[in-house]
Amino acid sequence: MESQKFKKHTDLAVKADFIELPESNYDYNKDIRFDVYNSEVMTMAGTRTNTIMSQKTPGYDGDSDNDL
Amino acid sequence: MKTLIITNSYDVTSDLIISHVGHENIFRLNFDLLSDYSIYINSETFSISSPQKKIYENEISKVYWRKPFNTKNNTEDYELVERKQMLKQIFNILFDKGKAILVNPHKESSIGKLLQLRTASNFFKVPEWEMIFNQKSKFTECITKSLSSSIIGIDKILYSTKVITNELDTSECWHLQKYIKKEKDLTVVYIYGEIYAFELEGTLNQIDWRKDQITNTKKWELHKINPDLSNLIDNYMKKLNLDYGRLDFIITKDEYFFLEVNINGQWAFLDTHNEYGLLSAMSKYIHPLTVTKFLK
Repeated sequence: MESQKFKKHTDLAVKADFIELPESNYDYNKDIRFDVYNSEVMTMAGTRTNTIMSQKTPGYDGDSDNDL
Repeated sequence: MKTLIITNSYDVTSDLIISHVGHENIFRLNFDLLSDYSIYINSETFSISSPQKKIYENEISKVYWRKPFNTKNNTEDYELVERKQMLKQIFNILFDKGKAILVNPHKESSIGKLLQLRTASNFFKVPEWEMIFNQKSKFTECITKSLSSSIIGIDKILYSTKVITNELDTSECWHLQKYIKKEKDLTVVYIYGEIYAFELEGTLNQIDWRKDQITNTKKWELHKINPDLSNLIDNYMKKLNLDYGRLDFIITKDEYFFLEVNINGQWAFLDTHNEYGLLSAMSKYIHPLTVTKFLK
């Protein structure tokens, strides 16, 4: 009889969605990457996700306790 | 004088702050673009140069630790660790001079989720919980949550997930919590005693609202918080010596259950267009010339 496989954290983890903000160059003059007055960017950043982070960052809340 | 924001270049929250406070008042240090900067630190002072600006230590009146390390790195090599350490040391130097505001990232490890839950039980209703390691759970079915909220592998995370406890491998440590069916999520931004509360009704996912935030977008609405809860939150944050935090609760049958406080919790998604004054409040404290309580 096959022995029971107990679940590990990795078995319960799921792939996080990625936020797709538009490509944009960083502007060293203004010290920003995205035009926050561009409603498309802000709508995506503000309502499609809760994280206001990047297309490089998995779309979870970014409240990780590993900020250090 | 300027406020130093330590973050990454994709941090839209910093874009929002800088657009609100004015780029002339901020020096932004982006970890993911560190190669574009030059940095010099000695026993008396430090300076940081970006392609367009230079700042000396004595020109910095405040430092705000945002999210410098939240970009994906495929390697965690020695040089990267050294670079991270350099940014932490810059923060530490300014913290020591009493210039750090809002977020002390070291608090995330010094408080942690279990101590915040224990402390919270003196102030709020808290769902029954336990941490087990090589032990049987007292629950049959419950929620498991990540203690660290870390990313697993390249792109996986453990959301709060309903589990049957006798299916778990107890040679791993598990943070388990009694399942309470919720009617609403409540999230509360606390800033130096000011409280901004928002509720989210009817998420598809009963356990963890983050799980369907992209496929099922819903707007967080302002929540009128009662003064008793407001006072309890203030007392709780003072007990933990936190000037800033985002506290998560669930609401069911008009009862509030505390889940956690995020010491460097994201906040801008709650008031992107500054309809509720949250963006203004944060900007007010981040502005280099306003009087702000500094972290101790």
